[in-house]
Amino acid sequence: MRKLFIGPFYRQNAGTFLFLYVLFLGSFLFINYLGEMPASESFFWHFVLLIFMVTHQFMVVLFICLSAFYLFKTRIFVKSLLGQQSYGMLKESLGTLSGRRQWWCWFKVQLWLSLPLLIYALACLAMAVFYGRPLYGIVIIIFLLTGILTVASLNFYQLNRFPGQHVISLPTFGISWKRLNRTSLSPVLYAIKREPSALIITKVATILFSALMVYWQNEAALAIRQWWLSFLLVSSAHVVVVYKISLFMHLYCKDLEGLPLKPVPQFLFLVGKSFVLLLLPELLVLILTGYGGLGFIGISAEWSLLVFYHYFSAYLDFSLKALLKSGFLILCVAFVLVLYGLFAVVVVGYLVIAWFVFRRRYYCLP
Amino acid sequence: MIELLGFSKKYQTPVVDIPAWTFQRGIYLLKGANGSGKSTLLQSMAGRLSFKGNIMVNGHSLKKTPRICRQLVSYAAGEPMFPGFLTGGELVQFFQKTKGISPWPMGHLLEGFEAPSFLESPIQTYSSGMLKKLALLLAFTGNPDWILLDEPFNGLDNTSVAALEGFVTQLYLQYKVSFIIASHQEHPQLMGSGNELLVLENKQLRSYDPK
Repeated sequence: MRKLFIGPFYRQNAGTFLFLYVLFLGSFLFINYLGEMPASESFFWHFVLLIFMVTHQFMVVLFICLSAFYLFKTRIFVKSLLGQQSYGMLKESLGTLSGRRQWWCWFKVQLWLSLPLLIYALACLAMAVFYGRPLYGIVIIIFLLTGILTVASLNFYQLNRFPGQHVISLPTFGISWKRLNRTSLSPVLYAIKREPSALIITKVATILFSALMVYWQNEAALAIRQWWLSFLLVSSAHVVVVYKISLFMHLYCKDLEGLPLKPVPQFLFLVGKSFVLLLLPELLVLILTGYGGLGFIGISAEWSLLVFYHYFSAYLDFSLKALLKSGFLILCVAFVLVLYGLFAVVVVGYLVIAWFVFRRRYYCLP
Repeated sequence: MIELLGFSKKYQTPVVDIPAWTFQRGIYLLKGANGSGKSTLLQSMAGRLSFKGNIMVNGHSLKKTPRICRQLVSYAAGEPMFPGFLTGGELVQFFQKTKGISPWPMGHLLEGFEAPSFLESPIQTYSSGMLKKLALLLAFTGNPDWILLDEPFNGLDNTSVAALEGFVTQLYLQYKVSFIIASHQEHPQLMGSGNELLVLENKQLRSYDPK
């Protein structure tokens, strides 16, 4: 299993790891250039990073976001390999083991794949305990373990499911799905049924982050700009899920093109309700902890960004790399604007760009 | 025993449609024209393809308990593909570790296939015949009740064909392993008592008597 999954993963992503390493190292060298930290060996920079991570909430959030992205990357990697014909032999070999042994096998594979994160997370925990702030370390470890368990289980289910059957059947919660207008909810239903890995990792990260924001607010009142930035981060964490939804709509909802709707209903068609539902857990976290007002501001802003990512994916011809790169650049600009207090401008700006992108290319166009 | 219950498989058009069929213990030679659905049928029985209806292996539903059925049924693909960076030996070891050591000795087959000469090389350097031999060796690992072989003789030299026929007969007679073999060639050595020739045509399966 090590040769089948772990070796190829690290070989394929060696460049990314090098880039991240240089990025971290470079950022601290830059700080050193400014004269705020003494120079030393590379180990020192990691040490500094760890201390920074466990003493500053922004780094915790950054680490959680990067971890979510990394875990998602590992899942996509294993998923694509399992889909290859040459890996079909795993069904006849690994697939004959008992469920428990198979799952354990996948868990070990996922631990190996997540090794860089785990080492950092464990070091963070140690430093957090040492600095008397164990919560940040514990949050990082819990998130990482949840992610690893989720991805391992999804890999396990993918190998074991009978061809043509879905990985996870849709939970009914006693609701009669027949009564619902499934068409208007198809994006969110698609995400639940067909993209559970992306959805679970994203939602765990964003819900955890929302809870952390509340914790920090209770500990020492946060500046309103920190809340605004956090809303941008939460919505940006959904970028992969929204991209998948957008691609699904493009591939399977072509028949819906050209519906006789006015521009605004066309613009909100399908995605409006679904994205509200997608963001509901974060809203509930804030409402239940007594920050309903902030929650409603947050969900409105996040919804705007999701709509933007939805139409922007189509505009970029569903190139995930292009979306991530350009999305990141736009987000950097948005961050700067928010730091200057222009949060409303950012939210409206995202919506306006989404509108123009939609007018250029999407469903229901006349 | 393998039972096909209301089995049907279609891609754009229906390929196989078998209302009911039972494979008792034995060696079955499955014949049929190109595109008649032999590989589709074998792949479905191995749990590699989705299908309508049900397949029961020794009373276990393939759809409900695919893992148990995979333990009972081994499969060698007609055009096998494996990760090229592994060696054949590593793959055989992996299969033996996961499926368990077979009760039957593999020495004769390994010699007949001249396997030691290529098993230590990376799979990406294999010829199509070597790939076929590796797929067959992997299908014989573990302790299955049924082994499904899709065009196992294609690409094999005469020595290997003889070794394979001898091994199949030995497993059937000594270890009660049953076989379903899709093949275009005649194999009189395999057609002893209790064995059956089947033909898949017009989406249906039927027994065939060459006399």
